[in-house]
Amino acid sequence: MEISLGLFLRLNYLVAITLFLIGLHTMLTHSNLIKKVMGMNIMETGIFLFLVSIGYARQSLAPIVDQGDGVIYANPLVSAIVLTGIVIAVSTTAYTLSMIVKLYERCGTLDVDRLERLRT
Amino acid sequence: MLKHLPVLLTVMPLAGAFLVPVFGRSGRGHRMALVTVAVTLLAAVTMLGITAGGEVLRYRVGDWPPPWGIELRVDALGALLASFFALVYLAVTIFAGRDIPGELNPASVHWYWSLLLLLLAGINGVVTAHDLFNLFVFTEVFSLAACGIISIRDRLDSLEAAIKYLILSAVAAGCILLGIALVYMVTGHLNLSYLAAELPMAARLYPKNVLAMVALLTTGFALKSALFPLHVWLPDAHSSAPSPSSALLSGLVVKVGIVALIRLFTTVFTGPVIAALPVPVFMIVMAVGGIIFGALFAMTQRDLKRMLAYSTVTQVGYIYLGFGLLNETALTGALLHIINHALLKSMLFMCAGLFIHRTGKRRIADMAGLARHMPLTMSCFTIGAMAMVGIPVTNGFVSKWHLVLGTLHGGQPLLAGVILLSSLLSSIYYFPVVVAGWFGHPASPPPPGPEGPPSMVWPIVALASLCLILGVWPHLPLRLLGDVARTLLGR
Amino acid sequence: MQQAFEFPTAMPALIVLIPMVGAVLAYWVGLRWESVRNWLCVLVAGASLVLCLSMYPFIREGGVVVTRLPVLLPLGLSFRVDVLGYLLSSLTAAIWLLATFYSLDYMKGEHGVNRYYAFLTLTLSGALGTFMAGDLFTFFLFFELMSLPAAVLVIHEETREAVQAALKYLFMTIGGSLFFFFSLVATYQLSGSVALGTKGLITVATPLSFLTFAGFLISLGVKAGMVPLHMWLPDAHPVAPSPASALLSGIMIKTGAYGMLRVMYEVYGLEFLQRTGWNSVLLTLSVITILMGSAVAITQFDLKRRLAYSSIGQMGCILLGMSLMSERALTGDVFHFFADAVAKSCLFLCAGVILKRTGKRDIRQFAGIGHLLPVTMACFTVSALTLVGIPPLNGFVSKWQLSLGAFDAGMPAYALALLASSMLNAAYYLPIVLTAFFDRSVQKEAPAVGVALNPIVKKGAIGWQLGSIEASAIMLVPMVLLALSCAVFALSPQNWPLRLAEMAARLLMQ
Repeated sequence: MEISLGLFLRLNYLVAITLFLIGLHTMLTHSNLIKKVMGMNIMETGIFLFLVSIGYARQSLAPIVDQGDGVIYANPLVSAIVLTGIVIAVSTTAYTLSMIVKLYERCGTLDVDRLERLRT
Repeated sequence: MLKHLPVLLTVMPLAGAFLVPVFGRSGRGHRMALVTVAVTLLAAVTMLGITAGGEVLRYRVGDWPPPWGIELRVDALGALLASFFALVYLAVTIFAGRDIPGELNPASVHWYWSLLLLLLAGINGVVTAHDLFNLFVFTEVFSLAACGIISIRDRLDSLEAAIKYLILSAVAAGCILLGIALVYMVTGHLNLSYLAAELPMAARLYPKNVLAMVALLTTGFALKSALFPLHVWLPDAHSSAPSPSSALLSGLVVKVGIVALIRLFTTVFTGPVIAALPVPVFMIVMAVGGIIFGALFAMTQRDLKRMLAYSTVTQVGYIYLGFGLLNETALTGALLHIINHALLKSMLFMCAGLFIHRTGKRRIADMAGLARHMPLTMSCFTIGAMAMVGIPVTNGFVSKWHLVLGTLHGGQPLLAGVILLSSLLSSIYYFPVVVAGWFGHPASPPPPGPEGPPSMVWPIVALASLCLILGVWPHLPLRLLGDVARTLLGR
Repeated sequence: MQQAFEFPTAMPALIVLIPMVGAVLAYWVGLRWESVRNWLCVLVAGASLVLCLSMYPFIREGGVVVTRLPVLLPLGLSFRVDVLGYLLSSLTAAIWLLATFYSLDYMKGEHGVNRYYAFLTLTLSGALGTFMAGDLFTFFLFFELMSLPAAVLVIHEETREAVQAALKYLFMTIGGSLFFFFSLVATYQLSGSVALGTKGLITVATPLSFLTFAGFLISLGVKAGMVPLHMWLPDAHPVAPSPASALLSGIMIKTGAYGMLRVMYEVYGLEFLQRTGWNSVLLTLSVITILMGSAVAITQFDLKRRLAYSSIGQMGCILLGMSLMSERALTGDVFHFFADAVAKSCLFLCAGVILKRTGKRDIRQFAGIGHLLPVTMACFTVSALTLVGIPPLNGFVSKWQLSLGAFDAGMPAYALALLASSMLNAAYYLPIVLTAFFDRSVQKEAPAVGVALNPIVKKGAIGWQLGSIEASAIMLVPMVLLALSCAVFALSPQNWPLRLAEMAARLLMQ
């Protein structure tokens, strides 16, 4: 489906892209590190929503047991992709947070601009 | 066994990465890492022998056939890159054996070897992947590992640089994943060959999706490889990391993003797909920006490692320039420059590392008179500087030759002017260092003693000699890469 | 075109390889045995000379000695020695031999001697390779191999000025070589080949081929000291040790002119340039070079700086000769390579002796120096007169031919430029000679200056006897030989270099 059209035909896509943009905006513009991590997670959630929406067709079933002809199944591959994506997102988040904790212990601030000033 | 080589390239370092923390405490970790890297190198060279004739190794993970299962592919390009990357890795690992214990908290030294192997697994994974999602996964693996080897130094500037890198890298990951989602949406495939077959049709049906997808993937991988306006994370990250890490980051990690892009653009986004999109032009413009601004920023640096890091921005620009021109000569030059710069920049960072290890100083001004105490290091640094400028008999010259010839083939003499201008700028920031090193007078001489431990000096010398050898006999990689460029461009 | 006989031998490669290996060996040996190293370097230069000369039988028959090594470097290496290459490489090896021999005494007791000899010998390899290159790529390679080690010779003194001069030299050299690199690649793009010896690689006048020409002109002009690009030369040549300046001025800057000759007559070809008139660019620049180099030389009072500016003026004559595009002008041009190389290196060697023995660089203090150093100043006089162009000497022969060539080319006005060059040369060389021999006005106070300046003079009142502080035989022999060859070749009925120059000119004009 053409994406510009899809954004209006299926709410999922619109929400997913909105989430992606909100996340991206937060990551790039906020100076607070925790907010950046939050933005990262929002962005990734948006992408996961988008992925899952691709695999889902209206009234489709979970592809677990063969239920005869004429039944539509959701695409299982995207779910697998999303699972892997979540694992990566979680590990990145955990890693970033651990570094932020260390940074906070060192300088007592979470603000990137403050850090910049501390260093120079 | 031979059949499993493509997957072993990734699995061996991955296994090593998990075994080192378990068995590798108390100094054994370095030896384990060395053995793993050496075996990986052996595997890569074996595959180079097989694929040099044009054969492509295909491997189905778990024996599932391609559209559903994961496929790995090693062609001559992959094998050549894997071999050279593993070679650089070996040199850096040997070098790190003496450097790292002095730089890090003793409790975290064995973790460093583990991260090093994880990074290698990620790099090899990207080089061998023939599947878009795998490409993404391994990109994340190497990005996380790369952050690991920066932040492990446990100092404020390293931590800060690592966080900056990690966040921008997450942005890149988001872009790549969204791009993958879009591509899957319009084609239903992730395997590169199947994608390539489906995409022309999809591009006609959904041009906007394909446009968005190409833009997202390009942005994502360009961020990972520090293409010009997206390079902001690089100087901090590369200069604050421990020297062996800087060597790997500048030498290899940056290149992996480019390799991924080259794969995508030559196997998937070919012909009609790319013809409608201005991506090559965009790349050339950004590359020119990187070449000029990287050099200008490098000129203003006073910290040796920061200068080298900005020089990497310039060199990445060269590679993108050769790639964006999309003709055979230029692409050969770009591929060759990936290898040459990997050798050179890691060698230069190791020189800087040895200098810092020996004297504890890291400013360029402190290098005056260095040759009196560290003649071998200074000779290698000189070779590296000459190769960066592109003086004949060094390998840098060979790649520059192809790049300039490629710009003329593409009918763009102005771009040749850009390359030459930036060579001049490179000489303006490299040669004063060299001249001061040989003929300057040191303000305070370093403590007396030998140049450095042999295990730190010889890897540098080995890489420097390799740079010269590849400058004098460039035919082996050139012939291979010429073939590769021809096949990649489909001629 | 009649294709010359080709003699495939390994000789040129050998000639280049010997100094290259010799340089490494010299450095290594020099760490232990100094005198062995010194004589090794002389031996290496001598061996190169003998091997160069041994190609004569091939050359005499109008043949070309060729070596091809296609396995090296992206385009392969090739050497190709024709008459021109033969004349210049033999000349190079000969002057190198003399300068190295001179260094035996001159460099005694200096610092960094090991480095000096090693790089001197390495530069020889580069210079020989440049003159014997069989394609532009090889030319470029050896051009660099010569230029970069030469920076080490410039920086030798390690003073602030030396470092600055060397950096200036290095940047301009690298800038120049980038232009060359561009033109090299563009030539390859335009014609698919960079081989020398075929007339007219580039035959179509397009913007790119003009850019290529401009690139060659700039890059080689930097090395040749062509005027807007000469800035490095007056700084770099005076700070180097005198034997090295002799080689820089005598040989190295000639490589730029040599490259220009090859580019104009073999890459572009005579007809092409006559059709497009591109040579007029060089014609104009060369006249400016002559006038400016010579005029500025008059204002310089540091002897070596004056000599350096004089080099610029002489290079102007050489560049003029090749851009006139007539056979006699070319004959004179090639002969002037020889005449100027011999005379200029002799002058620099003399300047070295003066500096070493009296500590004086300023021409205004030279009064009476001719009595202290009679032989040295005699050599100086002969060489200076050669460059002025006094009849029985080499310089006259070349200027005569050049002027005839200007008439042949239908541009007699350029003969005036040559005349002006001679007059200006006279204006800045003759006062030195006159002061040195005949100025008695300051002789009484001169010893005092000497005392202040140099311990050798201080030793006693004997300082004022004729030739009392004359240079040692080791330094005198090269100077005398060079000064003699300024006169001998022009006087003898068998003017061997002139015959070769005629052959070379005919070859280029074909």
